[in-house]
Order: sequence, then structure tokens, then C-alpha cells
Amino acid sequence: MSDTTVYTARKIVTLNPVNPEATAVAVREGRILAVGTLEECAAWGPHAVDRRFEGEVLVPGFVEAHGHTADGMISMLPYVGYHDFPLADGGRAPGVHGYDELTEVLRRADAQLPEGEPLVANSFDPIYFPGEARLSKEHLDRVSTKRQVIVRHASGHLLTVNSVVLREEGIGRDCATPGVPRGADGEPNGELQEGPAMSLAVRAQKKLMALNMDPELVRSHGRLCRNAGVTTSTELLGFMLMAPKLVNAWHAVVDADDFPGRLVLYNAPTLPGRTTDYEAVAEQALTLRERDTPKMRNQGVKLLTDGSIQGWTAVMLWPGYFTGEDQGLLVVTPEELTAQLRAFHRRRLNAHCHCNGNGGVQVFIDAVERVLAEDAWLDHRHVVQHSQTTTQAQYRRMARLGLCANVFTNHAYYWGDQHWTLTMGPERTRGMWACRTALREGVPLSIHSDSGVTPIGQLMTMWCAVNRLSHTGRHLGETEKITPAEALHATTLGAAWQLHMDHEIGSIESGKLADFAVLEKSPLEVDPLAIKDIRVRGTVVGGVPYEAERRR
Amino acid sequence: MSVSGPIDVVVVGGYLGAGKTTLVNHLLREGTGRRTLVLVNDFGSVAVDDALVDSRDGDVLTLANGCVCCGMSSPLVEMLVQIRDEGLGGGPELVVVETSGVADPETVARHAMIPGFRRDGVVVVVDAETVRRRAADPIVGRSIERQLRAAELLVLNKVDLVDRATLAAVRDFVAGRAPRAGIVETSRGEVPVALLTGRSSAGKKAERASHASAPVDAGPTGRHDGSDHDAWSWRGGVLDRAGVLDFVEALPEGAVRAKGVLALADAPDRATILQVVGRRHELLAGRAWEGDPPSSRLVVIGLRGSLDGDALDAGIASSVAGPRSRERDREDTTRSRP
Repeated sequence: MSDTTVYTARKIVTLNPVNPEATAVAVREGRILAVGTLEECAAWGPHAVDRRFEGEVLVPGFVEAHGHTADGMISMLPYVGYHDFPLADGGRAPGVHGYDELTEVLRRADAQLPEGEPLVANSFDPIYFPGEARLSKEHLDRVSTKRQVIVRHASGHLLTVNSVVLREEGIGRDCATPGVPRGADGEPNGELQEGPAMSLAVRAQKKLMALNMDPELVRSHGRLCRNAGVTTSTELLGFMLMAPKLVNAWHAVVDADDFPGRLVLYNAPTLPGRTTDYEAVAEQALTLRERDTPKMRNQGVKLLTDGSIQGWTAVMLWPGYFTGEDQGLLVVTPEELTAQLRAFHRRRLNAHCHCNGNGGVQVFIDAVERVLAEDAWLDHRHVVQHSQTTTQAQYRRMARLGLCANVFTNHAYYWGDQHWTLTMGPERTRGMWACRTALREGVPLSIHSDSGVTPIGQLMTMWCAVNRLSHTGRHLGETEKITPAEALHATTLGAAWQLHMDHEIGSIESGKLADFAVLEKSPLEVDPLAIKDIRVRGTVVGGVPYEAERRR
Repeated sequence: MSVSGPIDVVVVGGYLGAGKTTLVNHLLREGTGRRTLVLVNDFGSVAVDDALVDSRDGDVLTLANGCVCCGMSSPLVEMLVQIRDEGLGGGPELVVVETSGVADPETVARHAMIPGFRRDGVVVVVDAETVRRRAADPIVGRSIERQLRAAELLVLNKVDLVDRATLAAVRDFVAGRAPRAGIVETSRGEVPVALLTGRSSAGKKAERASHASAPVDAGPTGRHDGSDHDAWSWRGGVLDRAGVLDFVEALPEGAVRAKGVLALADAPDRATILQVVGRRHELLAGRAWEGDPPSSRLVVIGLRGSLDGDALDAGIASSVAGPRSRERDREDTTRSRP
């Protein structure tokens, strides 16, 4: 029996410039032995030919360099968002487009839950229900008057709960907590606005917390990745520095043969003791890496500067937001951010920093410039994450400093209309997600879904960068579009570069890991508007094929 | 162990390096006269489990850092709920929350307004030497502005590092941006504990002397001679709501705190709690009298030399409810003076 398998395909798009296209790839010991024609691959010696991909197109396995395993939660809780959302089993949670549909989804969930368990539903988005009365406890009392019913809004700033929650959690007419609006009768109307009030739903929060720590979430995320052709994903808000006891549980899930992908974690620094002791945290991060396996790695640190644009909490430089109240606040002082970065940078640990507003970007660029002047690690590849409003001048600085951009292009589709009309205005929206500028200025580029915030799927993410269309069809500017080939690079080799893994993954060439996405068509050959509709047949990870699940 | 009334929460905010930790350490060193728990709150709103909580020195709990994006419950509330329901921290009577350098202390204080807790003041520490420069920064400045706006007790720290003219300018600068704050000047965070906690009995000496001699039982008195602050207290009968509000509005600038358990003529069944910190005051419904004769107790605490006992005596005397009903009748229970 041979140790070498040669997969044939209708076409293999390699992203290796010396050998851009092929029809066969030889795999040995989980790695790519050779790429070319069947004859060229056969020349390496004894082998078995596997023709299962004969009619398909292979591209390098997609790399999601800014994902969250929280997307698995959509498969574990009732989903009541507006847009359809993929589920782990290959099906889709249909979007909810009215209160009747909402009630129906919740009633079905109610019928399946054990007695006494709170019913928590995700991602309700009333922005799409103009003219309807606000969701209130009366709506949810129609679902159940025995069980707690809690609807989390997509904004993350609001819960609507039924009367059972109000009663059991002691939220009455005398409640002094801010964010508990009253109805005409003086009783709470079921809305719990913002953190303090949302926290009153103690049982629901406990359920969510337990779910958030559940390794089952990782398993669901893995299935979503496979169905989307993603072979390497990330948890960009890893908890391993805060809760090291989770590491074993995660390794157990990811390292198992049935887990169809690789997972790279960027952990948030925690502060065991004093807020200034980032050096100790970075030391701990080095220790974590000793337990890395081929499928799961704790690769670096996740930093944060600000909030979100659609929540008006991203920090924008003058003139700030187009409309609405500017809630932008740094989540860390520039001094502390620099101290965090310095501790990891000195230990040659890659930093990925959440920066949505250009003010947040500015603070991170300044920090990078500072630590680079102190310590010349030229190959740091630190990343401005989201990079939604980064200015042209900032891209020029980023190029000089060796910074990368991982751009949240999916925002164009999901919130492009809001940015155009509410948050940024037309001019600046045309300059958002500035992929073309990044490439022109020489800033290494990737693009992402922020899985959990939007569905994972690099074909959709590519489609957004290539077409820049909102979900209502609004054109969001021509000049920052990139080509399908550039977008494919950004979702494979470009992403791998930012994870310091481009020598292992991201292209199909001899010596690299045998990670492929199996597609029915090449995204470089279809109409650019059809890229998102290409069917994903599955993946190959370390030479092992995983078929996409499709629920009918 | 467990206390019957709500647990007081004092929030200590201010930018990195302003002296928050120094002030909190000073508070712990001096003693508060009550079982006190300090929470060191880094920003964030993400789930915290036991593994994420690092208990130090028995009295300081560190909240783990977290993410702002996912909209989970906040770690501060998680911890307060554990303190309330699960005995975390050993049943404190006072919780002091030290915020991160960029936190908006008003937001943090709102997290303390959950059942079982009572917001008891937002203290913002400001570095007299650097505050104006930081406030002018296009990015950091907005954090500074929000902190100043949130302050109920503004501690102008490190005044020994600036000259008199600079101090005067800084005082004007912060006063204009902290409209609801009482201002205390200090160095090395050495603020009289009574101003921070609203208890004149604070401090180890008072604690050792006797719990029974709490100032509220002292009857009408003048200031505490030799103390680092002024305290005035009063005990009497039924008061008139509008009169109390007039009294509060007329408090001198140096009066940074007042607390009262009041019998108000328009709320005869239950006590009314008066809480004043800086320029912010509120009147909340307290416990029912249930047969106890309604009576009022009131304490005012101020900077040393700021309180005129005779004037306060006269002021409260005119608030005593009498046969003549007052002209104005205010219904609002919580207001902030602009």
C-alpha cells in the first residue's frame, strides 16, 4: 500500500506564481509532495490515484484570520436575526422578518427545551421592522408564561424579556437600575437596555456564560469552517491566558481526527494581579505555545483599542460621526496599549489589534512605531484588525512600519447602508475597507468575516471586497475594489502571512501542508457577482478529505 | 456577615497615573470603619468565571480583562452578584471599585445600581500637572472629558507639583468641566476618608472608639475639632420635602457629601433616604416606619473649615414641616444641579 495519494482535479489554482495552475497534487504524510500534471506527480514513485475531485476545482484552503468560535452558538440557540445564517449541519437558520415569524421560532424552541431552562434567542434586529411597535414583554408572553424567554438584540445593547424573567429576577416597578423602561402602567415593559440592566437577567447570563466556555462551540465552528472551505480558522479573542484550564479541553476537540481544520488562537492578555504586569502575561503566552500541535496553536496576542462603528463606539478622528451621538471611547490608554504590545513584541509574539475607528488605528500605529524604535523586530507582521476607516495617510505609515491590514469587508454588505446614510456619510464610506489602497501602498492584506458577527465564508468575503455592494444593492464606491485574484490571495496566502504561517499554508506547492478548499467552480472564472454563490464541496486538511454537510 | 441594608459602592476613576491606586491604598490604610472590599476593574464586559478572578490580600479582587464587542454581562455585575448572593468577599458593607484609566466612571457607577447595592459616589482623581495637556489630546481627551463630567467628588491630586498660578488655572479648568463635582485638593492621594465614604466615623480611631457613637446619634453639633474634615449632624422630626431640597441647594461649596434618613411630610409611611455627593443628590424611598415614630437624621461632611454649623442649623430649622405648607411642591426624587 502506498503512502502517497495523487488527487486529480478539473483545475488546481495554486497561488504559487511559478506554477499557477495544475490538474494533480500528490500528498504524502499530510503534506504536498508535488503539484502539476498527473504524470509529473506520478514520477515521484508509488502512489494511489484518487479521482474524487476530478470534476472540481481545488484552491488553497481558505484561511480566516479573524474568526470567532462564537458563531457556533447560532447552531446551539434559536436564531432570530434578519439575514439567514449558516448552521453547523450545513443548513441555514432562516432570517426572521416579522413578529409572527419571531413568535413561531420561539414557540418551536420552547417546545423542545426541558422544563425550567431559560429560552435565549440570538440576534434580533428591529432596525428591519420599521413601523412595528417595539418588541415588549407582551410579545414574548405569547411564547410562554411559564418559562423565561430572553431575546438578545443584534446590537448587543438590548435584551427583551418576558414577564417570567421580570418576576423571577425581581425586576419590578421600584427597580432603580438604569435602562429599565416602564410601560403606561408603571411596570417594566420587558426591555433591558445596556450592561447594568441586561445583567439583571441573571439566569440567562449564566446560561450564555456556560455556553461561551463550552468546547462544543469549537466543534460547531469546525463544521461551519468545513462547509465554507476554511481549513485554518482563528479564535481572535482567545481566553487561554485568562482561563488556562480551557486549553486541554480545546486541544481535545481540535486535535481529534474528526475535527476538520486547524485553529489558531490570539489570546486577550489578562491581568492576574496588577494591570501593569504584561511582561508576566507574555511569558505565560510563551509557555502556552509549548503545547501547540499541528492543528491548534496559541500564536499571539489580541489587543483592542475601541468599539464598533455601527454602535458609535469606535474612536473616530475629526470630524467624527456623520450623524448620531459619538460614543467613541478608547478601551485602553495608549500608554497601556504600548506596554501590552511591548511585552509581546519583545518575545517575538505577533499582535493583532482591533481598531475600527481611525482614532483607534492611530493609537495602535503609534504604539507599533514606539516599540519598533526600541526593539527592531522587523518581521513582526502586527495587524490592524477590521481596519474599516483607516485613512490613506495611515496606510502609508503602516507600510513603512511593516504593519498588515485585515479588513472587515463583510461590513460593506451587512452595514454598508448604515455607514452611507448614518455613521460615515457617502465620501468616507467610499473610502472604507480600503483594500486597493492597502495593496497600492504595500500593506500586506487579508479580509475577514469576524465569524459570529457575520457568517464565515471566504467566498462571500471575497465577493464583498470585489463588488462592494450592500445587501440592498447600494454601490459603495469603485476605487477600493480589488480583483478576484487579489481577493483570493487575501483569503489564503495573505491571511497566512499575517498568522506567520505562509511557509506552511496558503498556497498549493511542494513542501506545504495539504490543505485545500474543494469548489464546484473557480472564483477566478465566474462572473464576479457570482463568487458568493459558488458551491463548496468540502475541504482537505492535512491530506484528509472532509465533505461539506448539506442539509436539505 | 450579611448586612440588612444595601451595600454601598464608591467608584474611583481617573486617567492612568492620576493616583487612583494611591488614593485607594490611602483609604485602606486609614480604614473606613466598615468591612470594605476593593474591586480593581479593568474595562470590559465579558463572562468571568472563578478561574478568572484572582483574589489577593483577602480584600482586593481583580476583574479579568475582557472584550467589549460581544455584549455579554459585565464582569463588574457578575462580581457584584456573587458578592450579594454567594458570599464572595466575605459580606462587605462597602465596595470600592477602582476603574481602568479610560473607563467612564458614570457607566461603571450605573453597574452598581442593581438590587442589593447603593451607588455612593463617583470619585475622580485628576493629576493637576498633566490634566490640561491630556484633555487637549484629540483621542485621549474625550476620555478625560467624560471622567471629569462624571465626577461627584473630584480629587485634584499632586497639587504640590504645580505653582500657585498653575493650580488656580487648573482649578478653573476642571471646575468648568466637572459641573456636578465637589473639588478636593491634595497630594499623594491623601483625601480625608470621610469625604470619600461619607462617614465621619471613618478611620481606625473612630472604629476603635465605638460603633455606637456614630455621628448620627450625636445630636446637633458643630465641627469635629482637630479632624481632617468638617462634619455637621442633626436629628429631629418631620421635614418638608421642598425645604430639604432648598437646604441641599444652599449647602456651601466645600460640603461634598450629605446623607440622611428623613421623615418627610409627604411620605408619612416610610423613611426617605437623602444622598448628596458633590452637586448630585437623590431622594429615595427607604424602609417603612412600621410603628417607629418617624424621625429625621442628617449628616453633612465637608472640607475642613467649609461648614458653618449655625448657618446649617438655621437652614434645617426652616425645613421642619409646620402647619404652614410651603408654596413649592416638588415631586422629583432625583435631580442633578446643572
